[in-house]
Amino acid sequence: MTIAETGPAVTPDPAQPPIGERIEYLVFVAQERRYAVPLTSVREIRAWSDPTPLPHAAAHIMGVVNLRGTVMPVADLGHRMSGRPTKTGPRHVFVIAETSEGPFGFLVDAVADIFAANAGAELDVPDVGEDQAMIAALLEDDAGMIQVLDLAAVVASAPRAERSA
Amino acid sequence: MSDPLDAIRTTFFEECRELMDDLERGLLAIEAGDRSGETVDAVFRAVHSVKGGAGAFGLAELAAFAHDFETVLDRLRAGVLAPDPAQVHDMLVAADVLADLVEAGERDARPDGQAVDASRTALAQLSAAARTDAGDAEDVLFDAVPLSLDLANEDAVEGDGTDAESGPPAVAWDIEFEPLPGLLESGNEPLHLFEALTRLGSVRAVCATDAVLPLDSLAPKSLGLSWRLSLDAPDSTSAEIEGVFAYAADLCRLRVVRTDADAVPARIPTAPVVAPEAGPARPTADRARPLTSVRVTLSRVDELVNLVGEMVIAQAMLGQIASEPGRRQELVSQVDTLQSLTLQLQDGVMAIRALPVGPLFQRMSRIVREASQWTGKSVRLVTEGEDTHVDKAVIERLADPLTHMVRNAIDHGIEDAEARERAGKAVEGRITLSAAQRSDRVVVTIVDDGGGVDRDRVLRKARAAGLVDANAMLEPEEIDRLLFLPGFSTSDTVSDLSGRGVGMDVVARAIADLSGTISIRSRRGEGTRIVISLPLTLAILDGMIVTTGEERYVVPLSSILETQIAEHADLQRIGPGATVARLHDGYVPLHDLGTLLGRRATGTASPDRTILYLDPGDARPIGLLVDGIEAQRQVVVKGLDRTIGPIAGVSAATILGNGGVALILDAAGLAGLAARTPIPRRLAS
Repeated sequence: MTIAETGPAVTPDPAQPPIGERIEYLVFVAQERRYAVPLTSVREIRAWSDPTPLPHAAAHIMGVVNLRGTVMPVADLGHRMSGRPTKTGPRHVFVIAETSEGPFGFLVDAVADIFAANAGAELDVPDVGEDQAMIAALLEDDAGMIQVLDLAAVVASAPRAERSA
Repeated sequence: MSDPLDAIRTTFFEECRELMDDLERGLLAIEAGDRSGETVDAVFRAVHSVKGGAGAFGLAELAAFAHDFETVLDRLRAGVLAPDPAQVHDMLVAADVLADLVEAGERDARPDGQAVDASRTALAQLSAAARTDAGDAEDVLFDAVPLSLDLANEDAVEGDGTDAESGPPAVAWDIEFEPLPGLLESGNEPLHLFEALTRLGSVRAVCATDAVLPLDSLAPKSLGLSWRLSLDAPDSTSAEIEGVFAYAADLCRLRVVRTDADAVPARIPTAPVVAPEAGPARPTADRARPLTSVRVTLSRVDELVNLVGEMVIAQAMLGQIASEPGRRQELVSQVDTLQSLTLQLQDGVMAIRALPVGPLFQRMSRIVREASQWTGKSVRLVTEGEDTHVDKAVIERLADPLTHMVRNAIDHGIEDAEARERAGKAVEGRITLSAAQRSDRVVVTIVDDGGGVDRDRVLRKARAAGLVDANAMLEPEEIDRLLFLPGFSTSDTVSDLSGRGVGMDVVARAIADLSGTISIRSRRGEGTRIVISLPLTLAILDGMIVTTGEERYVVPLSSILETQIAEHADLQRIGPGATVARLHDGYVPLHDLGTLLGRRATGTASPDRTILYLDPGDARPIGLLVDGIEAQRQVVVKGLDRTIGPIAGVSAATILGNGGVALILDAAGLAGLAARTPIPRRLAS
């Protein structure tokens, strides 16, 4: 609490207040940018498997994969956020988020860290146009800015973008 | 769903649906002349249970209506009401209204006040008719102690069968009974005491729960409850009443007061046991999927548990064998065992999803009732094969088409009484609804004994609508099939009943969506028979696994007319880019699957290339060019809708043996895509 009041930048520190007042984020890297989602919204992290492409889907939708019997869509997060397709390979992983509609996988380059931020440490998102909706907040650590994703917005804008009539 | 009350509420409405089925089944049996105690009891119990639940969930209107209905049924049960057919009809209508009220309660919607009022009036007349000689038939019963809930409509819901007499109860004694801590310890039981009281007269009990200690300080041996009893025993003395409590005399506080017949005992303030508030604004969105749970008999679950147990053992043995060298033969046989267990498990799990069609058919009896009232035709519904089990999803999606066909049969099929008499038929029309299993399909048949399809009129209409060429000569069966064409309607005036702009084409479409087929056969003057054939389950599908490029897709076998090696096909060019293939006595447009799905620009020249001729249901056949056919097998259907939404040309997905996902194609969707996609040049080369 006190640290949050003194400044927005939060550094993980064992002497910080108890976990209950802090939010844990999973930080991952996609096309050299760092993103985070609340740890509670992450179902699991899964190794690469070849997606089955969906016809006429938006470009960043890689297709569907088999998640232990459930057919789960996967999206190229880097492509969605930066507009350039990721050169995928077996070293990539899927961060699987639990959305209200079911599991949804996001392709990322690597999972970086678990980052605990004090409640209230988030910075506002500046006006950057349409894509702003997909970013819920910004965080900062020693290495710089982390974009906290609004998963609902990312998913909502995802496969429906080019849904065939 | 975090609120436990919500879950209970959901269960209540689920039970209500079953109770409504029981009620209707019972009433129909009564209509057919069955007056056995069992049937009447079942009918009474159904309404009684709905009433109880309705009270607990604060559904005052439902509870009040159920109460009125129950009153009538109670008289029926007591044998003082011997209903004539018109009265049974009133009861059936009341059952329909009750079902509507249940549904309205579930959605928090306003029911049709007019229908409710009309039916309540009919019920009041019914109970008045019974009262004329009801006399002292009122049975003395002590059913249950209604734990007092703080209810919106107290009068309507406090009862338990003894309050069927309307008007204020003739209460003769007011008894306050408060057990002291020693009562239970000494082996006394309030319920037994109350039962003893019923020997003197009918008892009404209200329990006060406000003295119950909170859970954390609960003394397990002290009861904390007290009762106020109203005893209807004008002839008993206070000594007699106190005598009942003699053994507990020093273990309770007892006060017995004689009351005026009109004086209703003052209510003991009671603590509500459940907060009955129903969320005021329940989302109505989840109405679309009404049945979300299935009741399974314990034996079926046990069967599955046994199977899983056997599979675990088989798997352990497999592991054992695999870890030791030189036991290849055993390995193979153990894999076979596991495979057969898997198949059994698959059947067992599918069986869980299967429900009898009986309740669905029963719903149709209501449709018949309403439709015959509207049209003024007298129609009787006969059902056969109610025990046929079909996948839950199939049943749910069959309800609308079936409703439509039954209405159609009454509106267009069955003639009016006069015409029937002229034709020498029974005045009462007859619709037979039957279901039967034929290997892995279920056949549902709707037969009416009406006038049959008026082929001249159908043809005239079809010509007028431009659906048929004016000079075309059609076989009788072809004319019958015109009924399934979009935009076709025979009725000259749009009737309230079946002419809401939806025709049989909607029915045909719905059946096709269920991977079913529909056929019609009619004989002028004798009636019409519509046969629907449906798969037993939607969870498993027979498919052909085809390849295009690197990808594999599943094409449902039911939509494939035939297949042909591309090299043997007679391909022709039409226009700048279209390729057509000759199929029987015509040509069909040819499309490359990969191109159609936007996966590649042009086809390859593999020697295995094959053409699948698909029947998209309501559109004309198309030819689909694939690189090869890999296998034909059953696949487990996995829905895509929730996270992905509809994709043109794709209906679902499945998981292949290698763990990869393959999309299941939808012929109608592909035909739609084909109609919009320009055909690339040089497809055939």
